Amino acid sequence: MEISGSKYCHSGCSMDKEELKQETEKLVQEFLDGNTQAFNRLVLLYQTKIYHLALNFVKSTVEAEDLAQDVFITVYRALPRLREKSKFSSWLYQIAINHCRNRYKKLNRRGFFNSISLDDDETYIQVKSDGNPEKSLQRQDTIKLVRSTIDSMGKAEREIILLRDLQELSYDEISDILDIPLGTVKSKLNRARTSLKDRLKKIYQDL
Amino acid sequence: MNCRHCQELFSLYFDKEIDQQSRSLLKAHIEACRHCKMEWQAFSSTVEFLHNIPMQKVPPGFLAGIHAKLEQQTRWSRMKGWVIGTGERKVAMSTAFAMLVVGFATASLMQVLPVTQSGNESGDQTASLSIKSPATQQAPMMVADNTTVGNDENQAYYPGIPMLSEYEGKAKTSLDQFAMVPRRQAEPRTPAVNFVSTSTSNMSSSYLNEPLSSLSRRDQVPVIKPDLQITIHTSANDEHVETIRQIMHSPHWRTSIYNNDTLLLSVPAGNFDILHQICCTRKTSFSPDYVRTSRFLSPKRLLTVAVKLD
Repeated sequence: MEISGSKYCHSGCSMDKEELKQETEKLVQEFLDGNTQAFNRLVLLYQTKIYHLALNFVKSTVEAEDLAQDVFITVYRALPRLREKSKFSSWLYQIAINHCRNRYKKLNRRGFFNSISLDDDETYIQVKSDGNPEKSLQRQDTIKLVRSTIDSMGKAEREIILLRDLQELSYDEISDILDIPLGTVKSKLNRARTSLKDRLKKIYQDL
Repeated sequence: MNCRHCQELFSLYFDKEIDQQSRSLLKAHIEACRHCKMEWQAFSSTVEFLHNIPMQKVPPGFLAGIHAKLEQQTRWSRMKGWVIGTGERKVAMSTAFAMLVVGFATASLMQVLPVTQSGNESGDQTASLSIKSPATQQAPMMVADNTTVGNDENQAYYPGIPMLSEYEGKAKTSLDQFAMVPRRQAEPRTPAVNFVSTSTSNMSSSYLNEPLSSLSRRDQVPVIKPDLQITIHTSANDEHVETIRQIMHSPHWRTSIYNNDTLLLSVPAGNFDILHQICCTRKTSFSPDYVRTSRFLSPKRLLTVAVKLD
């Protein structure tokens, strides 16, 4: 499985946040006016983010694909009921987080996470080689270590780190998605990041 | 600014979400405090590393997969719609369901409703009997009458064993004392019979003549129509007891107790003469009356004879 070097690798990757927001609002309106092609464009804009979020929850590319598709199907059906068109992104992430939580619970009950390994090539991200195999391998190991550390954190801490540091959402958006006050977002994020830093520090000290 | 406060602001400082004054204070503290400087370096490198983790591309066919799933779900919901039905079919389905419910309700009601006896009773009689409660319906045999048993409510009964000690001292002997009393205590019955019966003078006789019906098929017993009725008129208690004993213990017929003062005998036609002999030794009246003098003729092998003690 290959990976792009840049953070935004989808068709909307060249846009900055404001452009993305305007484009989204336009597409949502078009979809509500009956243009189903607008939905395809919306999927292309957000598919990588949602897929990546799903992958961070379920660890398996197959499950993540299925989960992300389910998220967009829910969006397709529920979009006509969305009141604030400007908050599409937060609403989409809310749906995605709920789907991820439910799927995670379901898979966890089945013992799915006991049977997969982070070292399995099929289940996790492979970093594309940039010409220096040794450095690439080292970086890949670090990513795995960081990911497993995030996985070992509490549910709330993990979610806030995923949304802020892996999805790069704003504090306001996180507040909307998780339905918690802005101040709580700030304090929780600081606690989560500090916790991750301490855990990683401990791991590196032990190594 | 102390170290704790400083480290609480790391996140905001990293995201540049902090006001200018706090920013400069924090910066100054980090420069001055070695511990906080190290913590900040670890903090910022961790978060920076997270920001640099690349996103993975979606697998090919992701969008097509969404449309395939949507199509599949639409087909499924169309099938569901067909089963549940829309428009006229919906009405038809619900009507059919309602009819089914009504059918079941009627069927179960039929089980509960009184079933009238087919026979030679008049319609009025049948109607009046059909409102009897199950409590009025005593089985013709095995009746325990608490009023005649006496005050001893803890009286133990054993099937088939007559309790002579119980009735010998009493003025009036009752057949109940010979009865095979069921272990289950029978319900009081007299008021219900009075309610149905229009006669007050000869109640037990009218009760005997009335067919029994029940509100439930389960409790229903066949109506007993004796072929003939013998009434034994005795006044002395000892004689009364002796007659009962003689009739009940005879091996020539089967005896059961119909009610308070009536025995119901199932007499083989050949043995009727023996019963006739026993009865004729007492003051007896027969119904039909000719039986006293001539033989009762019947095509039946077993005669049903009601012996009533007066």
